[in-house]
Amino acid sequence: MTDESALSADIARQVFSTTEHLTRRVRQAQRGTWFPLVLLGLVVVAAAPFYRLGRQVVTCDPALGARGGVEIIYKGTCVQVVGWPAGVYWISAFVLAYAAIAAFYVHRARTRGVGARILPYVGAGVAVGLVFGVLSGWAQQLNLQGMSPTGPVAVGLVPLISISLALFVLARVERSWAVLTFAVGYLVVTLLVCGIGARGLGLHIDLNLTPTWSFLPALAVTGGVLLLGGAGFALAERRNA
Amino acid sequence: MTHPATGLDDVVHQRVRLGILTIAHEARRVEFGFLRTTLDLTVGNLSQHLTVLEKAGLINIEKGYEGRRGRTWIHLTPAGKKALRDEISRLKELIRQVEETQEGDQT
Repeated sequence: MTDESALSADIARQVFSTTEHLTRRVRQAQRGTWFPLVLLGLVVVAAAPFYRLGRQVVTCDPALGARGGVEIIYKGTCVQVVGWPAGVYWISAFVLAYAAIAAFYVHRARTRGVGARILPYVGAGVAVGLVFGVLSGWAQQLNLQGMSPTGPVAVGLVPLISISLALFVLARVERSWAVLTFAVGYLVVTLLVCGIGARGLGLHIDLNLTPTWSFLPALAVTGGVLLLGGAGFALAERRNA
Repeated sequence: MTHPATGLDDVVHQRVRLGILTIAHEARRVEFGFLRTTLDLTVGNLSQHLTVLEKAGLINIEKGYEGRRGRTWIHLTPAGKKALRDEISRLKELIRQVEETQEGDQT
């Protein structure tokens, strides 16, 4: 081995170290995870009135079943559940929210002088959001209610899962293990909230809510996790700035 | 131009130019000011390196305005992506060869 080749290898190692440092700086400048999390957290919480709009107390005969919607019969109260108000909300909210997220990243790219490949996240978010929004709003018409292992009412909450699926794309776009970890955690929370999988694993929080408001814990938990996650990422970003 | 011993492309291998290509590769596009502050260069020095890379067909330079402010954005071309990839593989190969030789000398 010559001294020249050993020197070349040392220079190559230094070059790698420099390129890794530069890559980290670019990624730090590109990241803005807090914004989508906070915005989508607010979108989730704001869905509450639309779920309430789709639930009406009716008189019914449990033996005859529901007309024009699913029924929840709880402590003598019979509530008819119609999915379309929430479905319309999710579709509109997802389109607007992901458009706002795209605008945020474009603005950030201009101010910081470094672009980010955000289109895959925005595209995935809108596409999955639209599909899950339609599923939640029109599951009865599409004859999909029987597909949910925990009952037809849980189908109405599936748009929450679409948020976590899109977060996996964001983790890839931002090349961030922290976002990937958050996406996995949030997916688990949304699956538990929607009660998908083993029935006994669902989050059954008994807050003595009437059936007209029984969706509230699911929205509060999932919206809260997003808002807290957003706050955490914002603090981390500030510390690294 | 390629170095006869290492096979490294002199246009790409130069420290600053490799930095420019690395940053442009990570970002979809990068602004002149970001490159200047990140690489700690003067305007003239950075411009010279960008000219070399542009002439070699490794980057595209796009000049425009945002409001009244002039902005210069740099994009990596497909040839630039390939050149960066080749450079990284050659550097890895160089390190591997030296490490193998060092191990051989020790045994």
